[in-house]
Amino acid sequence: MDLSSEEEASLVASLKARDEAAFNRFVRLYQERVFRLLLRMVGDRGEAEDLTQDVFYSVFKNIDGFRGDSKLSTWLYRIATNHSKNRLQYFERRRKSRRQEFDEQAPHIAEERATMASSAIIARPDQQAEAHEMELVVRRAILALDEQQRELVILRDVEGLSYEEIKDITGLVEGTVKSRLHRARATLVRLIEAATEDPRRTFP
Amino acid sequence: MTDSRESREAELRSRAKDLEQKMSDDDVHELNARVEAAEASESGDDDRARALVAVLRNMRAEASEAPNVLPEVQKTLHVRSRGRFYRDRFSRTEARSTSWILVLVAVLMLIFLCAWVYLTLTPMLVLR
Repeated sequence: MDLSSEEEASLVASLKARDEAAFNRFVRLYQERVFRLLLRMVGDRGEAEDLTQDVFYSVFKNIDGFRGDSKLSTWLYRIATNHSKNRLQYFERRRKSRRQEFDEQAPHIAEERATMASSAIIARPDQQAEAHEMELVVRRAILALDEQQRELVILRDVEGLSYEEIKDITGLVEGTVKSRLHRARATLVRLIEAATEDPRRTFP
Repeated sequence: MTDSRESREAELRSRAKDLEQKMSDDDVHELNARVEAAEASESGDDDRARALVAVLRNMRAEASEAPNVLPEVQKTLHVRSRGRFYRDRFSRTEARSTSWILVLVAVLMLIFLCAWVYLTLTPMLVLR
């Protein structure tokens, strides 16, 4: 999936020349990853889709600003996380219940999208149900984290980015990324523990 | 319904914040060590931490059904650039230049064929 540095340089040059075929290729290459990241950040499929479109539009518009200091994918992730944070902040500022709606829908989304990957490795139905339930609990707990913690957990633990890449995306120094991530994971574990002890009390 | 959800939501968020504030650094390190230990080894002894890592890994590996946003992005670019980009609808293919080359070659071949037929048959007709 990741491009070699030569391929990336060539793609960037084509994008800067506003080559439409190259842009089509770029969108096809990264749209799934961008959408997945945004879905986990905002918790709503429709909103994530809109944001994904906005992100690629921004890339087309601002590609001249890409200096090659980081990988193209890292730059793209930075745009995507900024878009998601701006959107969430916008909704918060307006004090409307949109974000609650996202989170309200999140359990359904999580349920729909809950992969069978964890279930597949467990043979017994009761274990499958347990794995499925745990996955839902974790997804909901991630959405309960504040934006910055959520961003770090998603980038590091879900998307599997390196600390270097996360540093480039967030603009935080590596030590800060690590300590905040530690704290985010700890909160996540606590939330999950609380949810598994008393699911009704923690998650609606 | 919405109010009760909002209040539960608020409770959950304040609880998350509360938990975070109450945790000492040692607490954080201890919990994190458990998660990292489980992450490093499949045989970690903390079930919850192991489950967390497993679920996070599965989420990473998950093949999500992402929508194809390309047509909408192209449409937006076409509109906002006032028709400068994606002016033809054939831009949706990746290999647009290749298709144009093929079309051009086909047209040239047709012209040569017509010319050859004309040049070959006309003298025959004239001679008759």
